[in-house]
Amino acid sequence: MSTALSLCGRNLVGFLSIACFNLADPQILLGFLSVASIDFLKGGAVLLIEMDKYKKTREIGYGGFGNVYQGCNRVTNENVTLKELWFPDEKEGVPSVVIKEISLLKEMEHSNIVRLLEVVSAVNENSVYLVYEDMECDLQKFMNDCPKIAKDPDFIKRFLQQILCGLAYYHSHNILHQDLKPQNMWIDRFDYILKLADFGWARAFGGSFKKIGYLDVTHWYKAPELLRCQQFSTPVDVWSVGCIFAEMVTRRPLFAEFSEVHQLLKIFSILGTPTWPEGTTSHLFANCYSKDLAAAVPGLVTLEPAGIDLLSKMLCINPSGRITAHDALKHAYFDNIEFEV
Amino acid sequence: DREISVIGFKTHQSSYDMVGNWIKSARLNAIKWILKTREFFGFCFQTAYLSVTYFDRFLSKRSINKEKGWAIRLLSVACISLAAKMEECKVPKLSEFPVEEYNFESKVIQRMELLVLNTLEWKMRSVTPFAYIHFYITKLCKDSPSPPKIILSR
Repeated sequence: MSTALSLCGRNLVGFLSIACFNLADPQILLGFLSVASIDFLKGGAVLLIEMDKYKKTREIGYGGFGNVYQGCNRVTNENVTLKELWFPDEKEGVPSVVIKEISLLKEMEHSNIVRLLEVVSAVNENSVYLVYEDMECDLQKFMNDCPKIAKDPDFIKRFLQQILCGLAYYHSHNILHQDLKPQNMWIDRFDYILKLADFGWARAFGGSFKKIGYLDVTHWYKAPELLRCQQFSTPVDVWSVGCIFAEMVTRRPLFAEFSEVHQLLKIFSILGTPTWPEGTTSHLFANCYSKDLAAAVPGLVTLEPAGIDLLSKMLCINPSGRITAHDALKHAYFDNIEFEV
Repeated sequence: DREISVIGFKTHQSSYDMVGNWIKSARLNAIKWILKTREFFGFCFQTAYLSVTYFDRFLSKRSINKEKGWAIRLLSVACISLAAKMEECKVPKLSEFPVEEYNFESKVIQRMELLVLNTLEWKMRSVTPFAYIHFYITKLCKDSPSPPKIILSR
């Protein structure tokens, strides 16, 4: 027993001393620390990277935690996207959701995920801004502006593969995106690299997040289990990707109804109405897929059979039967293109 | 004190009075305060540990002027508050931290939190030995029928 204890003790000391006193030049004193008065902390001389560095050019979205702006770096003129996160309660300081969220995003590094450049404090310090690289063109705009390229089957395949690569990366880090839609996918017009953006609330599942009046811009891409307010997990994102896949092929949103109830009815009218185990409110849908997708959606005739098969696996109403992003990448539909992971 | 000696900080005590070691003793006091505060709120040990790593990482990037006890305390408050926000389900309000002789407004603590977050580049998720301790204890104790609860509970 004593072995166990002393080993733990040694480990702790070892770990703790790693960071021990690699002190910078003692002459370099922090501005605020050289002044005895704590009041000085209010004065703004602290070395926080502040919002002054960026200029907001226009508002592009909003949510319960703050707005999203297009902006640019005042020095380099580089375009960026700024996502504001408010701190609702001064008594609590920087909210734990914000800390958890940002520290997670900081670890995300993938060629199909928009890069978080830095985090800057608002001048009043009641919010922070997440500064993302800006790519100017989203998938929605791309489909409108470049219809010829966008409807090319090889491009569709390439984009879908990139979407799934980014998503598989998110899911492997236990992150749900929850707001995948063409407006949240950015395309570099030079090399056709697609990146997932997360200007909604990508979030770690298991965290205790509250949606504070967060307004979903659209429910067109919402999975049935989300529409029915049931438990959900990573399959909700795969559903959204399925909807986007179909939209790329048919050039119109697959399920585009004006309310969530109509949305659900529309889904059932196309995919078949599931039957629920009697007397349960379980999220398990029995008989989840009954209709032939290609027959139900005429626009899909141009899609090759392997594509139809993948799409119907992504649009499986029962979330536990839905294909995962990781497995979707291995689907036969992608057999004839080269993998870039 | 029992906690301090278990984790092994007391070994540094001999260097207390050495010239230029102000920061070492300040650090030791900060750790004592963090451990006391952990006990006060009933935080888990992981939270205290994480606070100390934040504290050390901060000081490895920025230095603090000698005899600024208040700055060390402010840093300690910010570190344990941030660690609690990462680890604990229930996080106290900034004004509830027992800062003893100092009187920091919430706004000032929040400002320090931001300074720590920026200094650590918002990388607050650290893997700590606590993630492995259970595993090792069960391995080491596999000969005995059941590991003493006292060890596991730590």
